[in-house]
This record gives sequence, C-alpha cells and structure tokens, in this order.
Amino acid sequence: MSNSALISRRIGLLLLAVVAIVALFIGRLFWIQIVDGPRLSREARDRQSIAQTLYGTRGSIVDTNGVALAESVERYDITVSPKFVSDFIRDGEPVTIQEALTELATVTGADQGVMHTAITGDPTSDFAYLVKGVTIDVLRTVQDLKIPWVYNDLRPSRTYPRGSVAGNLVGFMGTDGPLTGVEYYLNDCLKATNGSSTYERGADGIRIPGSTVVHTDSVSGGTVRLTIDSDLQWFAQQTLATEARKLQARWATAIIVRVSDGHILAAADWPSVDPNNVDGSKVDDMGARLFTSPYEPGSIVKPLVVAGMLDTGVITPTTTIIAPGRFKIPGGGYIKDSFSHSGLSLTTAGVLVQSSNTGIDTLSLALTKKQRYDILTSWGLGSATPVGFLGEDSGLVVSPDVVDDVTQFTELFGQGMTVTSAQMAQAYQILANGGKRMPLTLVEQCTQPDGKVTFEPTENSSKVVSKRVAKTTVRMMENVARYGSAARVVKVPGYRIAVKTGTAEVARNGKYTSDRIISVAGIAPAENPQFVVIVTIGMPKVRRSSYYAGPAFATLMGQVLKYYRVAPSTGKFPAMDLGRDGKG
Amino acid sequence: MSAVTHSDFGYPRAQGSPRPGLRAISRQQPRLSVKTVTVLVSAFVALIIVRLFVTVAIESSAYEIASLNQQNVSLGRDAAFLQEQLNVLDSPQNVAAMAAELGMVSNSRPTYLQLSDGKVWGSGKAASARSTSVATVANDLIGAYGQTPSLAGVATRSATNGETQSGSASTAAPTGIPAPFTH
Repeated sequence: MSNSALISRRIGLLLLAVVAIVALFIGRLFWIQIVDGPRLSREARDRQSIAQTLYGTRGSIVDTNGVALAESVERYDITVSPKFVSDFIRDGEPVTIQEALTELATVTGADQGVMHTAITGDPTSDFAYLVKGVTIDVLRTVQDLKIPWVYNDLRPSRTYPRGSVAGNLVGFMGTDGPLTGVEYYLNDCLKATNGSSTYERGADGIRIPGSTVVHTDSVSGGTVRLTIDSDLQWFAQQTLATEARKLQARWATAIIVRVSDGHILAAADWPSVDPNNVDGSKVDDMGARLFTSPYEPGSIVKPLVVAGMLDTGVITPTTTIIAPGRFKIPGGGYIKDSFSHSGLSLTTAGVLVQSSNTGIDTLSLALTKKQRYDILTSWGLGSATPVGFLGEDSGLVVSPDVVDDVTQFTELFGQGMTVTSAQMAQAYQILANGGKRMPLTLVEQCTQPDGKVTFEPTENSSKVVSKRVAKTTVRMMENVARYGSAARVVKVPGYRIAVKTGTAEVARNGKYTSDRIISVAGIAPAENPQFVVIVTIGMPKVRRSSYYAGPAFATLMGQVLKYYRVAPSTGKFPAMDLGRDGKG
Repeated sequence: MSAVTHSDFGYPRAQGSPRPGLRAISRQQPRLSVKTVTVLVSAFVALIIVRLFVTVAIESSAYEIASLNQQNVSLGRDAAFLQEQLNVLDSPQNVAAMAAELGMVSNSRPTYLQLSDGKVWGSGKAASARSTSVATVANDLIGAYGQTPSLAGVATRSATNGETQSGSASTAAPTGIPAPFTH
C-alpha cells in the first residue's frame, strides 16, 4: 500500500469515529431532552423546589372592649431532612450528630431519643419533625446552634390569653379545626384561607435566596366581637365558683344582661373549660350550659305569668284570692306550696311575695289551657333565643293540645316545663324594658380585615306586654326583694332591687327527687331598670333553698352597678297591698 | 472612416489632449493623536469602573434591603410574642393574683358616700383578709408567661409579714392627689 493510501484510510477511520461519537452524543441529547426530558426536569424541580404553605391568620375573638379572648399566634415546628444529616463543622470545630441532638434537646426540652428515632427512622427521607410548636425565643436559640440540616416551619396556633374567662362561650380548636363555641359556630367569619408558594434549594440543602414564587396569596379571617365584658365575666365566674363551691353544687350559671339592648355582658358557667387546657375539663363542662342545658326553673317563672295575666286583664295587682293549702286540680290531683298552710288571703302582689304555687294557680283559674301556653311562650320560652348559640336548646313548654291537667298548672310555677338560663335572661330583659323585647345578643359583629362587616345581630324589637303591666310587675318584685324569703341576702345597699327567687325540684326518671336547682333573678335599679342578673345554682348538696343563691346575686348586682357607675337609686319604695297574709 | 476616432467604448475623445481634471493624489491616512487615544481609553475604563461601582452599590443595597426586611419580620415576631405574653400578664386572673401577692383584698360590697347630704350607702365595713379568693378561674397560660413582676420599692405580703400597721402609719401623708397639668 502506498503511503498516501494509508493516510487517506486513517483519515477515513478517524472521520467515522468522529461521526459515530457525535451520533452517540446527539442520540443521548435526544434521549435526555426529548424522550426522558419531562421526567428529568420534574425530578430536578422536585429535588430543588420546596413547596411551602402561606398561612392566613385566623381572626381573633375579642370582647366588647377589644380585649383578645382568642387569638392566633405563631409557633414553629423544628424539622429535619434526614438525608442531609451528618457530622458538620461549626466555627472550625467538628460537631457530631449526637452532640447536635443533645444541644437541641437542651434548648427545646424535647426528648433526645425521640429526635434520634425521627432522624434514623428513614435516613433517605427528606422530612421529619423534631420538635413541634416552639415559641419564637426557642426557635432563635435553635437557629443559633447553626445545625445545617435543621429547618423550621411556621405553625399557626391558637391561644386564649384570658384562659377560662368566657372559655364556655369562646370554645376551642382541635387539630383539624374548631370544635365548639364561637370558634365553631362563627367559623365562617373567623377562618383564614391558606395560600401556597415554592422556593428552591441548592445541592447542599441551603435555601436559595430570592427564589420564592407565590402561587396563591393567603386570606386572613375576620374578627368576632362579643358583647361580653371580660373583666365583668371574670368577676361573675369568680363569684359563681366561690359560691357554688361553698354549696357543693354540681353546676352553676350566672348571666348579666343590659336591659336597653339585650346585650349579654357576662355569661358565666361553673365549672368552665380553660381552652388552653381542654384536657383539664370534663366533657360536660366544655360548653355553655347557659344555652345548652334546659332545666325546670321553678318560681322565677311566676313574675312572667303574673305579668301575662295582668296584660290579658284577667287579674289586677290587687285581685285578692284565698291560696289554699292544697289546690285541687280540676280533673283530679292537687298541688301544694313549699310550706304547709291553711288558706292564705293574698293579693296578686302577695302571691309573688309568698311565692305561692296554689295562689298563682288560683289566679289562673279563669284562663284556658291555650292562654296559659300563650302567656309562657310570649316571653320566648319554648323556643331558642336569638343568640342561636351552638347546640342551643329551646326548652319545653308543653303544647295545649297534649298538656295534661296537672302540668298546665305546674308550668305556671316553673315545674313540668324547662328553660335555659339564656331564655330566662331574655324574658327578664323584656320585663325590665317596659315589656319591649330587645333580642338577646352575644355577638356584636364580625369584621373582615378589609373593614367589611359580615355579621350583625338582628335588632328587631317587639312588644310582649304593656309598659304599665311591666312596671307594675317590677314593683311587685321590689316587694319580693323587701319581704320575700331571701330579703336579707339580695340587698344591694343604695339601690332599689326587684327580684324573684326560685327553688325548683329536680326530676329524675320521671320522679321528683330531693335535689334542687336554686336561683335568683333580679332587676336593678328598680325605678329605672338597667341590668338583669340571674344566678342559678344546680343541685347544691348542703343548702337547698333559693336563699343561698342570694349572696352570689347581690355580689354580682352590686358589682355591675359599681362597674357601670350607676348612681344610687332615688324615689321611695313602692309599698303595695299584699293581702292579709302577704306579710307586707 | 470618419475624422473622429472613437474609442473602443464609443466615447468621443479629443485627439491628442490628456484627460482634464484628473490626477492621482496620495491617499491621506486619518491619524489619531496619542492624546486622543489616551482620552478615549481612559474614558472607557472610567465608564467601566463607574458602572462597576454602581452595580456594586445597587447590589449591596439589595442585600441591605433584604437584611432590613428580614429584621422587620424578626422584630414583628418579637413584638407579637411580647404582646402575647402581655395579654396573659394583664389577664384578670394574673392581676388578681398579683394584687393578692401585694396583700390587697377585694371588697365585693362597696360603700358609697352621697355628696349632696353626706349619706353613707352600704355597710362601710372594711374587707377582711378572708374575703379574697383568687385563682378560681383557671388560665393555663399563667404558668407559662404570667409572672409577678417585682416592682421596685413595693413590698409584697410575704415581705411585710410581721410588720405592724403603725409602721406604715408613720409614713408622711401625701400632700395632695396627683393631678394632670391640664385645665
């Protein structure tokens, strides 16, 4: 072979090799870019790009003065990427994994063993929790440890700065959302919508600055303002707890309502949940008995019945009857009073002062079943209040079509029918407000972050009884306060008080037991009613008469009048004819 | 043939005369002086340097902005956390506990003095130490954040134990009620 032929053959082979290699490269390029391209770029994105939730802030629940009862706070989860976990150099010093975990355990108080398991459980994983829900000061100390494979995630949390003050109303949150109270039933106002974003992470696991992309913005929730005054609420809960403990009661409620607008200023339950520590309460104590637990109220219903009868015109304040020791029910059976007596000569006012069951039934003899029913229901008994609280009960007034002969008479003194404390508060608001019903209100409004008001309570008022009848009934109750069985303990010095007491028997399995529910419902100042206070104590062990609910009532009424700077009463006590045995 | 000769291109040409107005000139190269070059080059270099400085300045401002933003977020979190603790500290339960710590008792039956006729409403009795009962309204957060700040110069009940009332009575009575300077 000649020399030149050899050269051209070598050149040919070289060219062939070059072409082959280039073809190989092109093929590979084609494979990477076109055939396997989408999968690879997805994998790359997944490796670098980290999705992040942008949390919207859940709205606060505040009292009427803007004091936070429930608010959202920032807590942080300390997380780890196990696949990046290794010994590392910090400020020139080597740090082992164990040393780093010991440091973490010291500053967070978390269990080192648990953290170790989180890291070693799945070493290829990219995410595991080390410590959940630490505060910002703890997070800072964790960051100061400069452990390269430790990250943090924002975890919005809920806190209740006032603890169990209004905890019965505010409710609380579970892991997946609201569980009860205002948190639950006004969730549409409070809830926030989360947004999303992504950021990119380098091969060393460090976040690349400026790589954050927001996909959807978060939307914060609205603020719910209650009518509650948290200081007064605290005072009510404190008073109630003190008195209920003294009497070894099973439960107790107290409600304070402003007469002019029906706003609930305090609604106390005992025992009451601390939303910060739900596990510390029994399930029965987690809600608001005031709204959800109906009970037979006893004699505090009587002023409503008297006002209703005065309004229909079947009696006058001075109508005089003989209240028998035993009231024989037409159709069989009888009713008696809490004390045995022979026939008592009482006026309508005297019946209230003596709290005579046989007296009120005798007064009602001219009424039909339907009229008795209408009188009770006109005050809102038998239907839930306008508050519409979560799980609110409507109580029970037996329909005239099915009511038996006995119940139609016992209902007039609050037995054989049930109410909630909230319903009684609404009824007494009507009585105190000259017969005009202002809807009972717990929530003043819901305001969205942009200022838009998305919830406002109804303000429709209605007339239940005439002003004259309401005022007359309040005067009678003033006589009860002075001459009734609890006269000594319901006094508030300087103020004219109108009250009615109740000692109701508690039925169990269809039979009345020796258990009692004792209550005092009152209005002050009597000459110009501004506040209604109702104290109810359930099943006291040691003292079972309404007399013992008096101190709590007087303390609360005294506090309300002082708190709202009500001037001491003017005018004279309106003495009324109570009848020969009314003991005026 | 005619008297006029034609060139190959068909243009008439005057016989025997050279082409008028056309002469070869020497080509003059444009010449930049050293000075001009120096000015231009140094301007260019200056431009690059200025641009470099501006870029550096802009980028360092960007870092400063980022760091200030970060600081803003961080301070915002501090403020929120402090507010959160303050909300617990000023809760009625904590205030009541602090008041009790200072030896204060609450009198639930107030007494009023009617200015018009000097009439006293209420019992006028002082509250007894027994009338205080605190911490019946639970607040789990008080354990975490609610502390009793120690107020300088204010003795707590535990500190004054054993002292008699006359000790405090010897303190000079204040000369007046502090009033704001507004009219």
